[in-house]
Amino acid sequence: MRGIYTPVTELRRKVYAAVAKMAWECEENEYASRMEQIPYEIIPGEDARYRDSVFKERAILGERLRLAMGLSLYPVDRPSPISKDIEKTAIDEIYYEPELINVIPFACDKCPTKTVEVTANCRGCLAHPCWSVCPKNAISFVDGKSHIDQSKCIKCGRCIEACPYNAIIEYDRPCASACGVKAIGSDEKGRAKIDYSKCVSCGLCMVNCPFGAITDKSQIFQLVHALKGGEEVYGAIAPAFVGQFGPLASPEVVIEAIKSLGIKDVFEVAIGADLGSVEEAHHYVEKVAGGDDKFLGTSCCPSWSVMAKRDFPDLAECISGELTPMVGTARIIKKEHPDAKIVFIGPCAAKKLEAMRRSVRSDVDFVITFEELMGMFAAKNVEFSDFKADGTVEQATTAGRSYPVAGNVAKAIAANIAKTNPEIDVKIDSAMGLAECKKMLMLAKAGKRDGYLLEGMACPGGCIGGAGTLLPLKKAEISVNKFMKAAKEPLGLDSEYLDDLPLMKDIK
Amino acid sequence: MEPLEVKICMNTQCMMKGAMDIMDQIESLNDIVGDLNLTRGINIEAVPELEGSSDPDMCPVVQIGDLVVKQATTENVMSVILDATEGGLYK
Repeated sequence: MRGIYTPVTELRRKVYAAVAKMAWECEENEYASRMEQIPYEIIPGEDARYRDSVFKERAILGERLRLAMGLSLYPVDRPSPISKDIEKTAIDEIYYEPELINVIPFACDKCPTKTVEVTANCRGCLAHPCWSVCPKNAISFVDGKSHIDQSKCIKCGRCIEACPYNAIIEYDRPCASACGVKAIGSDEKGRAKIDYSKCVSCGLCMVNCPFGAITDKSQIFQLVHALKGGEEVYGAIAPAFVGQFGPLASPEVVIEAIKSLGIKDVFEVAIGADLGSVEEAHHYVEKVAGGDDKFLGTSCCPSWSVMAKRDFPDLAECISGELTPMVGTARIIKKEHPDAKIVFIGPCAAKKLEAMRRSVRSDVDFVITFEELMGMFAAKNVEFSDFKADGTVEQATTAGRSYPVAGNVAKAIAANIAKTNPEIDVKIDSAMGLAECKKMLMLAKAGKRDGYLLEGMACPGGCIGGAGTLLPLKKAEISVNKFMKAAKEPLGLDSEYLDDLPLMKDIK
Repeated sequence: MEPLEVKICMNTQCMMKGAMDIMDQIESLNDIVGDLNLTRGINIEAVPELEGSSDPDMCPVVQIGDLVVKQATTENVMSVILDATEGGLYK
C-alpha cells in the first residue's frame, strides 16, 4: 500500500519514532518501564479502533515495539512483559535474533488462501460458458448463480477467461501474491507463515499486508545507542534517498539533517555503485565476452542474488561475486576512518541481512531504512527547513546515482564496456520482482541468455520500490533522474574514487 | 477562473503522518480533471509550515484557498477541493 497513507503506516512510523525517542531520552534502567507505557500512548482509551479489542491492539503494538528494537516476538501463552530481554538489545552494535521478517501471528487475519470465486456480478446466464470450460466439472448453479465447488477446483482459471461478465475472479492473500518465491504458507490455525528456507527477505509481504501483520526487525535502538555513547558513526546513504524526505528536503539538506543526529558525515552509496559498475564491466569483458562464463548476473540486489545462487546452484558462478555498492562504500569510508562505525541508510529490508553475512566482511555496522530514519528525525524534532545547504553533493556519477531504478544497473555497466571495449556488443535482459527474476534465470538455464548481462531487482521499479521507502514510485523515479543529471561525470569509469577499486576486490 | 491554491505543510510531523501521500493524491486529481468536470485547475505547493502545524496533534495541515484544514486526511482534503472546484463552497 505504497503511496497511500493508512493506519498501518501510521502505527509503524509511530513505533519507530517512539523507539528512537526512548533510546535517546531514557537511562538504561528506565527502558523496561518506558517500553510498557508506549502501547498505552500510541493506542489510548478503552475502545478498539480496528480490531476486536483494545487489549489485542496494544498487545500487537507491543510486538511491533519488540521487533523495532530487534527483539523476537514474545510468548502469548505464558506471562511475559513486553520488555523481556531488553537488556540484551540496549547495546551499541547490531543485536540480531533470527528471523528478520516476522508474521505477528495474532495480528494476521487468516485471509483465505488462493481461491477462484464467483462474485455478485454473475447473472446466472443461459450460456454459462464457465460450466463448459471447467475441466473438473466443479461449477453448478446454486440459487440461480454459478457456484464453484472448492473441493474440485484446481484454479486453472479457464472459467475466469470464459465469463462474459468478469464475474469470476482469482483471489490470493496479499502477502502470498506479493511474494515472488512462494515462501508464504499457513500455520495450523490458517495464519500466514513464512517458510524461511524460501524467503529472501525482500520485505514485499510486509508492504502488502493490509493488517500490518508482517514486520521486520529494526536496528534504530542500537544505532541511537551508539550515537548516544559517542561512537564515531558515518552514514552511507543509498542512491534511492533523493526525494524520499519530501519536496523541501534537497539531497544536501537531507545530509545536513542526518549529521544533526550526531552522524559525522554522510557518503553516497552511489560511489560504491560507480566502482561496482566498473568491476562488473571488467568481469563481463573478461569472463563473458571471453567465453568462460555463460552470462553475468548483477550483484547489487541481495534478495535477487541470494535467490539466484540458492535456487539455481548450477548458475551460481555466473552471478557476480563483486562487492555490493553498500559494502564498497563502507570500505571506502573505513579506509579513512578505520575506527568508525558505518550505518547504511537505504530503502531495503534485505540489506539488513547482507550486512550481517559472514561470507563477506561487510564493514557495515548498522542498516536502517528511510522510514526508520524518518522516525529518528521525528524523535529528535529535526525540521528540514532549519537547514541551509551550502554547495552541492558531488561524490558520485550519473551512473552510480541511476542504480535504484530498475534497468539502470545493467545500462551503467554496459556504458562502461562501450567506452573501454566498443567492439563488444553487450546483450542485456533485466527483470523486476522475484517471480520475473526466476523466469529470466530459467531462460538462462535453458541456454537462452548466453552472452548476456542480466540485471535482477526484487522490488517493483527497483530499489525505489523497496520496503523501507516513503515516496510513491513515480515521484521517486523523477527525483532520482534529477539527481542523476546533477552529477558532473556520466560514467562509473569517471568516478573520482577509481583508485579505491582494489577495496572492492578484497572479498574476504 | 483562477486555479485553486493548495498548500501542504511538509514539516517532519506532517510528513510522518502522510503529507506526501496527501500531496500525491491531490496531484492525481489533475489526471482526472475531465472525469471530475472541474471548473478550475489546482495549484499545489509544498510549504515548510502552516497555521497550527507546530502542534503534532494537528498534523498534517493543508490549506485550500483560505481554509486551513488541520488533521488533514486524503478524504477530507479531497472533498473540500472538489467543493471548491465544482462550484461549491469556495466558488
